[in-house]
Amino acid sequence: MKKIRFFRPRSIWVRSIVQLFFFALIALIVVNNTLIENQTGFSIWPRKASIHALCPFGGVVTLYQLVTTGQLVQKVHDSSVVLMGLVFLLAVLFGPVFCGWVCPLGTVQEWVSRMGRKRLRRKFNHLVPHRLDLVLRFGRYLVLAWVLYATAQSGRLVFQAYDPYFALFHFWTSEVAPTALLILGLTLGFSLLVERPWCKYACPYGALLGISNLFRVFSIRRIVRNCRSDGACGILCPMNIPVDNLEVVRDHQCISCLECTSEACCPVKDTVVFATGDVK
Amino acid sequence: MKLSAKALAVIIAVVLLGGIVLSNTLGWWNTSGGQGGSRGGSGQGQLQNIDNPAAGESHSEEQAAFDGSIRGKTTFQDLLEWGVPLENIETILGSPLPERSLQVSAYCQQQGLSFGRLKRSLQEEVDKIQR
Ligand code: SF4
Repeated sequence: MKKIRFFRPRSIWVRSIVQLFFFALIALIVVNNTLIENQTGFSIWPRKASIHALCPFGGVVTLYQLVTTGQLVQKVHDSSVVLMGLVFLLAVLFGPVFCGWVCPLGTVQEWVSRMGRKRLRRKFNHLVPHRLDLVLRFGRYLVLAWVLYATAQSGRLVFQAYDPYFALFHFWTSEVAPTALLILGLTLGFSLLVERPWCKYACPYGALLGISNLFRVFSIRRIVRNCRSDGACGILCPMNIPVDNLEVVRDHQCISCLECTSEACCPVKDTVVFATGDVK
Repeated sequence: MKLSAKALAVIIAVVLLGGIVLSNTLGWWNTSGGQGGSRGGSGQGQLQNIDNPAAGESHSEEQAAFDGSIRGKTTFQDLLEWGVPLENIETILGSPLPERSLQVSAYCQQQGLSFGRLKRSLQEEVDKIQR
């Protein structure tokens, strides 16, 4: 007889801590950079790092230019390429953990979503018609293709004018394009209705990392013999993946948040686990 | 093999933060200037003043870190060195060029101008050269 927990922790608390840590780290670095640039004579530490230097997606968009000319795209630095490598390594092993655990824009969307969930309760994150939702979710691949093409063509960071992540950490400066602010506003507004709307429908980096779900080493696995089929995992998955109908989650939208596992919403121990293929 | 959330959290932190420390030790971690910024960040090669190649040597580290953006500390001298023609700057200012070593932001303060607005116009000039 499998042990059933009556107390269900509702989320992976350690993930919230990691998210908060990376959000605070990036915010601190941006503040420090602003202090140095404005020559206030005060900085938290002396080394400069713009937000572009800390974005692994910068490494992706510069790849074409790096390979063909040995140059990096304007505003991108070597650190972006290093981060890109580290995030790819994590993705091959664990899937898009960068999206679920590190990305500050994902974190902010989750924070805003908490308000939406309180108001809408069960309707929250289940408002978009299923078929439309399925089609819209491929939109991020179009965005990815456009960003890569436009950057390769121009050698410039064209996505900055539309990037809600850049807008989030620079909304007070004149560097932010109105389009980026608008997209940030829409993202946060829709977060009141849908979990992670930017990640689901538009994020080009999420699109790329999502491909790792097809071959990653550690996956979300449902041990069918233990499962009571109460559907909790599928209902509570932020990315609306029907975990309760799958044995192994290979969905391109999984962000490895582990919220469906027996450590979080699944009430039966060792039923939804994060494991390699030898765990059956 | 199963992995718990706590173990995953530790691995993520170790890979990212450890990776940064390691790459820093190896000299690959460049967040502003040096190899990265000048290698590509800015197409600095295109923007350096070809009339005065020695100017590049006397650049401060910040100037070497030029990444195509006008900032609070950018001076009129910087703009000229990046290749923005003197006439274009004067047209935007609507007056003769002030002291070259003056920061654009300080000039705005002196003249009671909006730095954001002036910066946008000058930035367009810088971007044209980069194109
Ligand atoms: S399937 Fe599980 S790990 Fe993947 S996004 Fe949904 S809840 Fe998170």
